[in-house]
Amino acid sequence: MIKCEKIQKMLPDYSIGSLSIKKREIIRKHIQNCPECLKQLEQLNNIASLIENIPQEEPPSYLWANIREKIANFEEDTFWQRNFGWLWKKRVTVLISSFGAILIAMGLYFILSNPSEKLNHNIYKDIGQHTFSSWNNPLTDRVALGMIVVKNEFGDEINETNR
Amino acid sequence: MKPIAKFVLISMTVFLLSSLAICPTYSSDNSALDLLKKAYSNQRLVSHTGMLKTEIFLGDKTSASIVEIQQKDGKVRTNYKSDVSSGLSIIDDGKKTMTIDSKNNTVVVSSIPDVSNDISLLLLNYNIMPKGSEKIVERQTQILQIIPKRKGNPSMKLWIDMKTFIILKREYYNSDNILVSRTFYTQINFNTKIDDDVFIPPINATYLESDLATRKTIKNEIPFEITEPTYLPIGYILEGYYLFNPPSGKGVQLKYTDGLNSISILEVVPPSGRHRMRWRRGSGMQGCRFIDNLQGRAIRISRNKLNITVVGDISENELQKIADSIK
Repeated sequence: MIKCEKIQKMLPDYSIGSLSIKKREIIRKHIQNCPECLKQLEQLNNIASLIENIPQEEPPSYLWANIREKIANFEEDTFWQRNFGWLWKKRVTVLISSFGAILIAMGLYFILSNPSEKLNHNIYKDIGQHTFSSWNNPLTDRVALGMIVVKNEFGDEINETNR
Repeated sequence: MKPIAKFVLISMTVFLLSSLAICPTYSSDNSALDLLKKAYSNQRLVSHTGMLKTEIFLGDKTSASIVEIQQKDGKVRTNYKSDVSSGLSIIDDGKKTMTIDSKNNTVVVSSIPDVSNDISLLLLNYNIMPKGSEKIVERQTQILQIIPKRKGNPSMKLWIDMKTFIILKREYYNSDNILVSRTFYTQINFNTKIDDDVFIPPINATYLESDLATRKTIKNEIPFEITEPTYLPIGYILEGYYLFNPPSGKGVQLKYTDGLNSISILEVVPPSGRHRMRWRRGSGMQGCRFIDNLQGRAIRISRNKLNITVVGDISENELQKIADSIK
């Protein structure tokens, strides 16, 4: 015979009729010979009838709209959580890593492209253009000027000395 | 008024007036003027060969070169014999320069901008003063000093040959009165026969078009509206507009001159993307960079979607005023 302890665990489900036919039959036979378990079943049935007698409250009119909205949000959250949830969980690490990566990228950009040197070069080209435009002035020292312009064209050596 | 006071007052007035009559302030000497005018017109006319030494002073550095020169019928060939320019030659036919690099077998061709040969503007802004005489390569020269009437402009010393009026030595002082360059003949010969081939660059070289100046041209060849300054230092006038070809496209150079010194405003469309101006901002400048160089000072600003460089051997203050007046 099955022990009372096991039967009593199944009694709540039995009282609301949610057990399989086989289990219901086992319990029915057991309570015929066990007054203790029968008493427990009667108490459960009393509680169920008390609950059934409580008047049912009508849900507010906006409830379904709220539920639909929450379902929609819940679906969106689950998508982001499924794909990128780990980002949020490790947000501090991700933030620091991203900042570091941006700094490294900026450093590489400036080292490789060296924009200031190119801008300097352009401004020196402008100075070279200005200098050369005085070539035909009769008082211009073309020999010195030629050396300056040639150096501007071929090496920028003169331009490296800024005061 | 006491008689003695009257006497002193009259004496002082007479002295002042006579001083003004005898020495008209601090103006140019007439003989010096005549000599300069002759030098002005004779520079390209006198055929000769010679050796020169040229020195460029860069703060604590000096760059020097020995140079061979051949001049005939207005054409000049300059062969640089030492320094980093060694192996380079420049042929100048008055309309363009051809820079021959014998090491790389290239010829860079640059058109020479037209420059006014009118000396009157120079005389308006500079005093021409005789500074004695000296022998250069055994030839008698008269030394002339070209002194600016207003501070903050460059000056020059010229040693002019009294027979041919060509300039045998020059010294150029920048607006801070610092010697920037000195060039002088160490040897000169007026009787050497010069072959015409000297002025023809090698045919088998690679020819490159320089992005330096092209000839004077009209404004409407520029694909943007030219921005002009509303302020210029006293004595400067617009000499002209020049096209040039920076890597980002066409550019225009507005050149202003006072007869000796010049100021340029170079306007170009900035290259797209990363080379745009991103310098310090403030004091009304939309991005600005200042360069102080012995060749002159330059300010780069950004205006009306253009990169504008103002260059000139003038004070930083004046350069800044010009830049600020470009709207």
